[in-house]
Amino acid sequence: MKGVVFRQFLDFAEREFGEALVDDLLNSTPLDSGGVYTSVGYYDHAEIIALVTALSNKTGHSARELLIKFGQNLFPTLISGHPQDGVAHAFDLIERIHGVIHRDVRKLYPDAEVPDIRPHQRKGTDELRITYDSARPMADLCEGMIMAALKHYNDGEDFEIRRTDSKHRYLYNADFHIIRRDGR
Amino acid sequence: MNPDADIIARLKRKLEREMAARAAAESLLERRSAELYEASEQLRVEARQVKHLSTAIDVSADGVAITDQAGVYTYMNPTHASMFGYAHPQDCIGLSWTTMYAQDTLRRFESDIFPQFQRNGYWRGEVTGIANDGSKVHQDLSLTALSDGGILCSTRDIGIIRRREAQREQLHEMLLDAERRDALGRMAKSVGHDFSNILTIINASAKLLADEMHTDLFDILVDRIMQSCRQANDLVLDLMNFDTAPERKMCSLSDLVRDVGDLNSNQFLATQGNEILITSEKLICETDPTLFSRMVFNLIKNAREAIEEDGEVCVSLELLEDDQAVTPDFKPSAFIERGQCNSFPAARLIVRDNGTGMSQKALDTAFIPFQSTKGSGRGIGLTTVDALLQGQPGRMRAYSRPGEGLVIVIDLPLQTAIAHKTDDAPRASNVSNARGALVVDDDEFHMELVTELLRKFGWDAVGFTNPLEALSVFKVAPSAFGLVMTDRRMPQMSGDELVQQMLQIEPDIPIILNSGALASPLPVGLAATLTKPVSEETLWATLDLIGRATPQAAQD
Repeated sequence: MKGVVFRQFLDFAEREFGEALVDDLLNSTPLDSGGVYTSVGYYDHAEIIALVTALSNKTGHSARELLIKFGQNLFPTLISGHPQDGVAHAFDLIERIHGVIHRDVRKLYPDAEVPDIRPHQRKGTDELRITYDSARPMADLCEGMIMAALKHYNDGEDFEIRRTDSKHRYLYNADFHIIRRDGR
Repeated sequence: MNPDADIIARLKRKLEREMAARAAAESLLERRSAELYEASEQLRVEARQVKHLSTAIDVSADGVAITDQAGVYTYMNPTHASMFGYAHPQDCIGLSWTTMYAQDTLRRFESDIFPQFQRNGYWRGEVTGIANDGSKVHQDLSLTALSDGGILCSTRDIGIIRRREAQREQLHEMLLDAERRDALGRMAKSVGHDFSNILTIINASAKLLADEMHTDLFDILVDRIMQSCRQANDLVLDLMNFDTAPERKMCSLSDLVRDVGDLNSNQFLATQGNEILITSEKLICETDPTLFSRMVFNLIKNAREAIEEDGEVCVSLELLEDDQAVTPDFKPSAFIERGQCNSFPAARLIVRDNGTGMSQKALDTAFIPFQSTKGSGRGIGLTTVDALLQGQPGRMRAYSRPGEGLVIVIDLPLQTAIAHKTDDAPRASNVSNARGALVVDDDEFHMELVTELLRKFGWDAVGFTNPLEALSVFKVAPSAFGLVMTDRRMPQMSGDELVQQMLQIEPDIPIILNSGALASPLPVGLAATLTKPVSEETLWATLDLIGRATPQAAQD
């Protein structure tokens, strides 16, 4: 997993729970990297799972809760670093992930293993169905980022996210049905 | 624990982690930078190779084009564009490949070509395209499937190859026909020659009988015999002139040798060497193109038949500014020279082989009609050399050594040289007044008949059946002779050759060519010609015409 995700996670944890807790987290969690992450490096995704689990244990927040919140924090950082010209709606952005954004990611980082996020049904700006499929159990992170995207582009509008995880690949594979709550 | 110390320790650990992260990032960046440099170098090398390949494709003699998945041309080289009548490849980019084929060809693509292409990813065959101007383009076409769904088309215009093959076929047929006609002609001449001699005897005998016996009935019968002889003689003349008149015209020897060389090329084994070296100069000469082609064809054919499986034949045609010696690769043990080449520049044709070679005896007879060492494979066809040199100035020299090979060198003055030569001042006249007359004819009866008639007219006539003997006598005492009469077709030496050699010795000697075969071209320098059979009247008339009816007349 890309180092920028680890650094963003630690920044998020520091902001939410304080520098002392993050220091304790890094000292007490056995990590191959020793807790040293650079934005341009690659690290085993098991380390993020270990960090989320340890943070959950230390704070009492569930891993799902932490990952959704982390996703909501990660999205603004990523979108400010890589502005998407011409995108006016969150659905447009989500539709670009598979064809455009991940292709650009691979241009910069040929070794990057990006999740497969494919839209397969859209009704204007009211409804969108997407499938998340990844080698990592990060459906919660994805959900948090979807929430952040909806907020970023459609502030003030109310959307409901109905998530259905795969029975056999829980957290690895999930369908997201994003639907406008007011039915406009 | 002191809270400040705790904070300091925590910050220190954070700083250490950040420093370690920075060092790791720098190390990673250095590694990536090095990898990027290597990749860019590799890319540069590959780009250079691609550029070279692209240039090669652009200048290729074969047409190359690429279509995308939809069948639209995305690349075309100039050859392909030109093949289809477009000035620039860009004119074709964006066009569908289907615009270059007629409907029936497109149906063939659908029903036959594409199924095979889709099955194998490759197809090759012949198709006919349509050029921009509507003309047909006969192509040898290769289609290769590309990974992106496009097609790589490689094509060659086989219209030129077909036309070239047709020309070669035509030339081959022409040479075969000429060979057949030549064989027939030689047979006709041979029969005519012998029959002419018989007629001469009948005619002369009838004349003698008429002189001796003077009864009316006898005169009538003799007249009938002589009339019949004249008619028979006309027939013989027709027979002997069978299709032998050479058709001389300005020809490019370079083109003829190249064509004949190409024609022979597929007769050689893969292990045999066959080299054709032709000067880039255009060598123009007035000659009979069929006869010249036959001669070259025969020389190459003979050379090919003489070499082993690993032997070599080299044919060269070069410009000769002045006379130059030839140096064979071996020390010749046999040599023969025929004809002369005194005018330059000339074209020099050399046919070399490292085959069985020829002995002096074989070489001496190889160029004489009916006398060549047929069966050995070397004499057949060499008479065409003589036939050519009888019709135009030129020289043939052959060098050989049995077991080593044969080199035949033919020098033919070019048109510019001959034109220059004819501008030379005429020779001063110095006609001999001697009483001697030399009669040469391989037919003994005819030789004796003419000799007797000349003696009757007052000449000291001496006769020979062998022209070589006659020449040797003439060489010893040329001034003893004031007249020469010679037959034309003789086995040891042709009358034409004898005339040339005698005129070289004594340029002013009057020579009468007396033959049943007086077809052009005649040797230069003759005083007169006289058709066989000879009678007292025709001989007297001919001699009188040149002021040589008697030795006294010559002195006057």
